[in-house]
Amino acid sequence: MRILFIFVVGFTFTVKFLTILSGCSPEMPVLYDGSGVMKIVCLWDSLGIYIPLKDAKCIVTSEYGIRIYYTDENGVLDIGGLPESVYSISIRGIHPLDSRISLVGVKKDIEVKAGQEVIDTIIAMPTSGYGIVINEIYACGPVNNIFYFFDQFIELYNSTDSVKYLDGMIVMRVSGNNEGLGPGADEGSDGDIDGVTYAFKFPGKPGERNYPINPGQFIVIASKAIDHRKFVATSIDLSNADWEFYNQYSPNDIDNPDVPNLLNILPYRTTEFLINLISDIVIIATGEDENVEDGVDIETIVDGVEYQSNPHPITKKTLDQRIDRGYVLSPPRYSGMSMQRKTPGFDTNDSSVDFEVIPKPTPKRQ
Amino acid sequence: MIKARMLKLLIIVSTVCYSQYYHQGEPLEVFRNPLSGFLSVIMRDGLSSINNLSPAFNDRLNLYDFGENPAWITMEERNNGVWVGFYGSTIFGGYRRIYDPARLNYYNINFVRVENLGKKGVFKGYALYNFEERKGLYRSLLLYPYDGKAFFVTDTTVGNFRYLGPNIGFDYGFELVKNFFTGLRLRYTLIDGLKDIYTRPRTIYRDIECVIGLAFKVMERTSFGFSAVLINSREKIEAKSEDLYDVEIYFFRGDQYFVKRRANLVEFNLKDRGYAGYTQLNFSVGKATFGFNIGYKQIGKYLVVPYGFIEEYEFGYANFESYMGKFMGRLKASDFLNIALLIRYEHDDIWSKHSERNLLLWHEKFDFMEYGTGISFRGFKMFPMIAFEFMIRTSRSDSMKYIDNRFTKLKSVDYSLGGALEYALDKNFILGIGMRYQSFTKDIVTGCDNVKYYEIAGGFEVFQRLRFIFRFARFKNRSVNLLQNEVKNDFSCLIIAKLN
Repeated sequence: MRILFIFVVGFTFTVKFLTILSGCSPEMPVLYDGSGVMKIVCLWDSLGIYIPLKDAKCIVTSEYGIRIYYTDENGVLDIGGLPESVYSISIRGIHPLDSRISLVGVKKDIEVKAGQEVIDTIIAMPTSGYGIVINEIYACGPVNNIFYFFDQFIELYNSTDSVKYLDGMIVMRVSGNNEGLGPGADEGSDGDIDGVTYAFKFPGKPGERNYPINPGQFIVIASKAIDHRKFVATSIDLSNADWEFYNQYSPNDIDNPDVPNLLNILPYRTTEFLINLISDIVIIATGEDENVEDGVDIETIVDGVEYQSNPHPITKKTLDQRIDRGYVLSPPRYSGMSMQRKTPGFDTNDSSVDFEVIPKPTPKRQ
Repeated sequence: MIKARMLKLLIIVSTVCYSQYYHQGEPLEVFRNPLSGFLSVIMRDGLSSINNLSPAFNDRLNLYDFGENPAWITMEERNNGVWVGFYGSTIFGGYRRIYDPARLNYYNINFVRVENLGKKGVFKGYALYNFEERKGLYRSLLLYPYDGKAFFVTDTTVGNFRYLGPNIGFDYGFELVKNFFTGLRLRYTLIDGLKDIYTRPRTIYRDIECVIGLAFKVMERTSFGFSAVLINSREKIEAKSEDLYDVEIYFFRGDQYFVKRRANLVEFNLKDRGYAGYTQLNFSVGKATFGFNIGYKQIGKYLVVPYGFIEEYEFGYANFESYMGKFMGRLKASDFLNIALLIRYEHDDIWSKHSERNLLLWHEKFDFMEYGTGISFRGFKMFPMIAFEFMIRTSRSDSMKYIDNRFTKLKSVDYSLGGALEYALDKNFILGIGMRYQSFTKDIVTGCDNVKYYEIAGGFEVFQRLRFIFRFARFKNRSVNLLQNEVKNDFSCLIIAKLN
């Protein structure tokens, strides 16, 4: 009897105790993640008539990286079960009458909330270009442990079927304007982009025809046109580059006399042309707007590429969308990897779509 | 007596294997709770206290062993002793999950001392030095990737992890006033881990557990106890490449969605803060002894990523809540015959959330119900002990992985059959062998059907001081699905020496 009494008292005490303890436990959230829905209607404008863009490739970007989807026959992208996040979508379809024309569109900062459905529309537009594109950017440096990254280069490509000319063109690094909207943004909405830090110019003037680039030809512009393997075995030979960045205002820059130079047009920049290893913007312009310090007219820009180490929105894209709607996710520092267009000249003005990371650089598409 | 102990020891080894079922993928469980594992084998004559699941051999039905209340150590640990031991095991095979290593080697050396301080109480201290090697580990950086939280952290390589470090602790208890006991248990674990290739993450794991116990001897054969547990641990992982590569680390929310971080140095912390409370009741009526133990445990796990100088971003939070209750009854039917019954229940409720948005990611519930009975015959001349044990367990899991849009309900009925035999050449040399067979209709850990478990253990004791035990165990999945005929093998051995 006494045992029973003890047991009952003990049990009651225990239940009370456990109830108090469990009451201290944190509360479970009411809403659950993975319940967002996004319905995007993808259309393209055919002379004022909007036609559904079916089977279009949709690149959906968020803090969770990049995912690929396709629109259905009605041009609708219907994704359910999405985690709550801020999304950006780039779509790319083929023109139904001319498969050589790409139809591209973009929508950014779509906030998908848990349990909610977001409905939106993207209008795709045909893309056109100047014909010369930045085809490859090698920035991260070779595999090494001495902080060597001087084997950087930029590769240009003529994606048209006609000869183009490089006379007077300017290649720029855009990494300034950090106090404003950021590098490459159209500060003040005056039709130019700001933040140019380096500008190197091909010889001649725009319109002249001394430095051709033939259809399908690759042009390599080296930061230093030397054989870098002499310094780092895992590096590359750029002694046969087509062009070289040379800063005539720098006391230290080394010039390879066998390789023609792009010269610095910003005298106060006295260091050699180098770009950030993992995050930067490179643009090429016709050179018609030579006064780049107050911004570069967007109309004169031939191509531009932004590359970043982390996806949006961890890192903010800043290059004006009229030049490029996306960005390349760059390879790690000193990994010896490079960023290259998926096929030569493939340009939808969205680097997220156009570029891929390759294991090693391929100057002149080796 | 020694022979009986030897046999018990062998069977206990079998039950260790059984208990490992609960900890698949967590081989380092011993780091967390060494006294509840094999280490108990080397302590005093309480071999049966190795775990509380073995009704056939658990003679220690009391508040200290069955109830895990340190206050009762005064009543149970009456003899001084010093033991040293070595334990080694290797586990390998294809029956594993994605973040389990292809091979796991684990070794430790251990030292235990029990000192009876008379009226000042009883002190039992222990120290281990652990070494663990996880070979062919696919990407995972966490020490315990599969504890139920919805967060995984990975890099991009398959490599080998090495963990090593000490584990020290003590139990101390004394009689505060007549029939009123109090006790303290402190455990401290420090692990240093390193992966051998890019991204070369380094793990520093620190764990402190404190148990405060109270016990009352209500009557001569009735005791009641209460214990409170505080848990505090921190796992710091730092991935820093030795060359100039950036490191890329993936922080997963759920199974599919991850956020990538890339930098020269990526570090994060996993912090556990928890508490638990247990109450115990033991009493005897005639030749029967009964023990009850019920408890509640809550642990919060925070995955935080530092930024700036002192700020931290809480990537996620996981809450672990668990209720448990167990009952054991033992009847000494005669001088030769012991019969026992065990009933055990556990309910686990685990949920994880996206801390910044306060959204539920995963919610998982587990229910375990276990019934076991054992019978042992003791005192025969050539075969001092023959024993059998049979256990049935029903397991249910309800997994709602919201962020992954995966919802599964599993139910399994398992049974386990074990037996052991002791053979005595003379009092200075005893041989023993034990076997166990288990069948799972569904392995709720891996999701595989029709899993079998086989185990054989053997050993000997010489001069009542030195014991050697080996064990071979195998999991085998005979289903025709994804993991067809995959196996997991486990070899282990244990050497124990009593120094005084």
